[in-house]
Amino acid sequence: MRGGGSSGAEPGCKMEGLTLSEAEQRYYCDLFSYCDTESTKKVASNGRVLELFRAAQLPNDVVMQIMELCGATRLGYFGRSQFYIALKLVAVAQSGLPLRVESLNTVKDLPLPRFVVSKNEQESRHTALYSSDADNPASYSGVIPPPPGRIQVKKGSVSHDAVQQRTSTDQQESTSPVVSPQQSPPTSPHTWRKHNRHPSGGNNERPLAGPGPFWAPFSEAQPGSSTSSDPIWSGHSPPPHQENWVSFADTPPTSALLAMHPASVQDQTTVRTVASATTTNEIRRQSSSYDDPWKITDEQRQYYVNQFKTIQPDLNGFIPGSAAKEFFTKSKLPILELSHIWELSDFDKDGALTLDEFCAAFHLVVARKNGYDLPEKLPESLMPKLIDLEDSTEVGEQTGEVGYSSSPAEAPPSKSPSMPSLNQTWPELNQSSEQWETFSERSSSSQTLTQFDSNIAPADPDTAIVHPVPIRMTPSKIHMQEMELKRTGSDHANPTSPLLVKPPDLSEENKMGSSVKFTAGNTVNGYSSSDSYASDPEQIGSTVTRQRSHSGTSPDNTAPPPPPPRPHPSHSRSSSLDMNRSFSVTPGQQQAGVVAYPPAVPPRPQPSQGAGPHVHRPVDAEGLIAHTSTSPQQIPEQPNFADFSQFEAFAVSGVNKEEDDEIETHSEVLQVEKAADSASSLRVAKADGRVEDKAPANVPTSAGKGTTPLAPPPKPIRRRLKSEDELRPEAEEHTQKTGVIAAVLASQPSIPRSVGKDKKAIQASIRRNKETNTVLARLNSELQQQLKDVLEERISLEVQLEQLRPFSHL
Amino acid sequence: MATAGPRAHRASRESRSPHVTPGRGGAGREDGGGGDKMAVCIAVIAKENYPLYIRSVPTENELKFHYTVHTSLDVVDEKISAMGKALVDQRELYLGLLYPTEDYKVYGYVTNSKVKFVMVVDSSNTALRDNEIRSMFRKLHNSYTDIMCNPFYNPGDRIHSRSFDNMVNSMMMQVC
Repeated sequence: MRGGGSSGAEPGCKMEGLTLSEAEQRYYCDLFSYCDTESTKKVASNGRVLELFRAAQLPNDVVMQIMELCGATRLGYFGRSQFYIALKLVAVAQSGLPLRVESLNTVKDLPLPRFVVSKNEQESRHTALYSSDADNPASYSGVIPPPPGRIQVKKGSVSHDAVQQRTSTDQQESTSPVVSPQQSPPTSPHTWRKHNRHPSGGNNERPLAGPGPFWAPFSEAQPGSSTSSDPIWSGHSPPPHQENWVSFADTPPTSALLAMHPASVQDQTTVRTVASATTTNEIRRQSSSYDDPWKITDEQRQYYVNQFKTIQPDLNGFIPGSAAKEFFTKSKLPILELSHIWELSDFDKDGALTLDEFCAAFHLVVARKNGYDLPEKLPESLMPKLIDLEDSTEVGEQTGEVGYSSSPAEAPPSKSPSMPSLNQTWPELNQSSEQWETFSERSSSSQTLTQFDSNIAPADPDTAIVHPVPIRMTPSKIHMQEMELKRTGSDHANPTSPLLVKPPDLSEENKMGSSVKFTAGNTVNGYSSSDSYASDPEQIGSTVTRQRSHSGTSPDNTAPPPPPPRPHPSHSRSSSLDMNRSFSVTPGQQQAGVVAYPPAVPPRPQPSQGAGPHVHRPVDAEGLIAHTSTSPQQIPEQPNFADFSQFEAFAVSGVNKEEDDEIETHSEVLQVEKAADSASSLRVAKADGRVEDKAPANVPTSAGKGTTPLAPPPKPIRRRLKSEDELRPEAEEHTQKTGVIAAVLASQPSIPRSVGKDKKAIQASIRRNKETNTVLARLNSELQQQLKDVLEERISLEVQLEQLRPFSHL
Repeated sequence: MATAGPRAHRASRESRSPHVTPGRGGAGREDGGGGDKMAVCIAVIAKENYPLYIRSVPTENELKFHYTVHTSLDVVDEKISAMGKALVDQRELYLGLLYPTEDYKVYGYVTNSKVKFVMVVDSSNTALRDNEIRSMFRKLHNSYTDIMCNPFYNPGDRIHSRSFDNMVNSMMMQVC
């Protein structure tokens, strides 16, 4: 009966009169291996077989006919021979020939049966397989990536995968599996090989209830599964593997599906865990879970959980019916089906979804989107856990109880209360769900939202509920709070802090403020250890050079320099000269700066103050921020300097601040502050140097620039300086820019710290970095523009000089 | 088992092919499950007296049951108004026998939201006692509440829930 049952690798073997070519033999063997989810080597999993047949894209009645012809219906299962015959019949049917037993052997040159499976499916299948394969965490990780790809268990791909696996497991062939013409050679083969588990473990489990339960009675003879299998099986088609994630309209479907998988897996796992408490249950579950098409993979589960969080941050809470309705309506399934899904998943019938219920519902939606029919009863793997692992809320407990009974049969016991009590409880539940709703609305924090950004990003484009996942563009609350704290601290510390003075970049200023505060404390330390310190002399030199060479000694020289920590005082001067330019540019800069450092937004020290000095320098925006931040530091140091030096110090501090701001954005606050400290200290040194080297003119310029923080003094000075030093703008800008860059770079190393929220910090810092990048890019462009202008001026001046020369000689 | 499997599956599959199993033919949801409680027709009437759900034993003339249910609404309203003197909350939900005919009896049940459940029971089914009828109505009410809990259900729509169908089928007389 089982024809060439076990090995099945004989070329041209005959089974019950069935003659197969070598290719066919191999292919069928692979397919059989794929379907042999329990590695029985004798019986193909009905679920898988059904999927396979579905993938063959044959009408249902043809499939039924095939099953009858091959004898599977008679036997109740697909033995190897039946399977082979069935495959051959599939090929016959696909060729358009009438199904006849005689045709098995008479039809020559029959193409291999085609099982349509998209690459995606294959991938997802692989993925699912891996993900569901608890034993292979490594492969699992591989699976997760393409959300859509997720467990594409669909028919052909599944079979294909199975085939491949079979190849590896059963036959230990390393040849690529026989790929049906339409199937692209899956990449998984090697992976599958490593897998060495029978396919059922992985994705195959995914097949939704249909095949699983259907198969269960055959091989497992388990009452529970058979009970559930019957209805499910009859309900429809081959187990809906977790195929392409449901493509919901809005947000990254992939992410949704992706989450769904993990969720389902977890769900399953949890179920298993719970079952372990009860041996029988466990056995049943484990065995059924292998081929349970409704199992949720880990990634699915994770995705579901994430989606749940977007609606209800409290994982132990409920999603009210209305919210769930909106959410699932996005899946574009017909209301009737959604209603049915709801009925299936709302286990305790309270009109709200717990996490488990939500995962189950989501899973069902995904399955339905992928073409699987909905079961009549909630599959076991989707039932809420008996013992709510998260510490049951009342629903959890109910769920647990109901789940325990798990025979999908009746409405949850919780429903049995008498009518009056039901009526009473229902409104209460409604109320509680309303409360939950409000709670969730209130509590949905940017924090959680931001955390999901990365999860959702990789979502599969063609599937998953497109749930609008807000990507936080504004600083999160936590960030804001942090910034506020810093700010307030810094403000207190430095009443006259540049923060006040710094108009342009409020956010930067904020950051500066906070950073300033710290920098003040760490000035000494920073000074000695700052990285930028080394570059200071260079900058100073370059700055001096710049200042001295009006004719544009090369803005280029100054521009390219390594990210000098601080813009030279000259920067301020030059920038201040070009009022028009600065004004025009500054606002942009400032805005950029503001945008660049959203996290620092909360405390906006003093927009007004920054306005003055900042106006001059578009590029200075960041520098100014730095200034402000360092100003507090500067303040104590100021007494050490002469007036001019003070200004310079301010300029430097401004730059420092700028850097500090950047630093903050990039790294944790503390680190930023330290960097700022060092930067500011460096600037101070530079300022000193500058003061000494430069002419008074320079000093005022730089002072003006540096004194950004000090509103009144710098403004007048700035204006003066601006008129004087028009040639410097670009130098200053360059310097500033470099200073900014230096600050940024300096801040980079210090980023890592934050203790508690690494991930969030990283994301935040990434965000900040990006913003800084944009700001710097703008800075760059502006500086380039100014450079050009300055060059033109130089040329004109030289021309004038030439013209004047003869006169002088005369 | 093996042989029985596919057959059973096939049978169940066939029966399930239409998801909302129209029972055997008629609109009635039939459920052979409950042998004791067997109604011939079950209907859910909305507050505005239009049917949300009607299911009868298919062997009978569906129209007759529809008409019976329709006419029973008058009796229901009568009973409601009679009891309406007391507070609505105190009103008994179970209305009891609305009126008997030669072939069957009609029972009624009203919820607090004026949704009426009407059940037509075969008169020949003498084993059916009042408390059984009450329990059947209770189940109906529970199922109806479950439907209302479903956010996808708009109150006032026809009821297309499979779970509700299954429940009603369990209460209908099984015609094999």
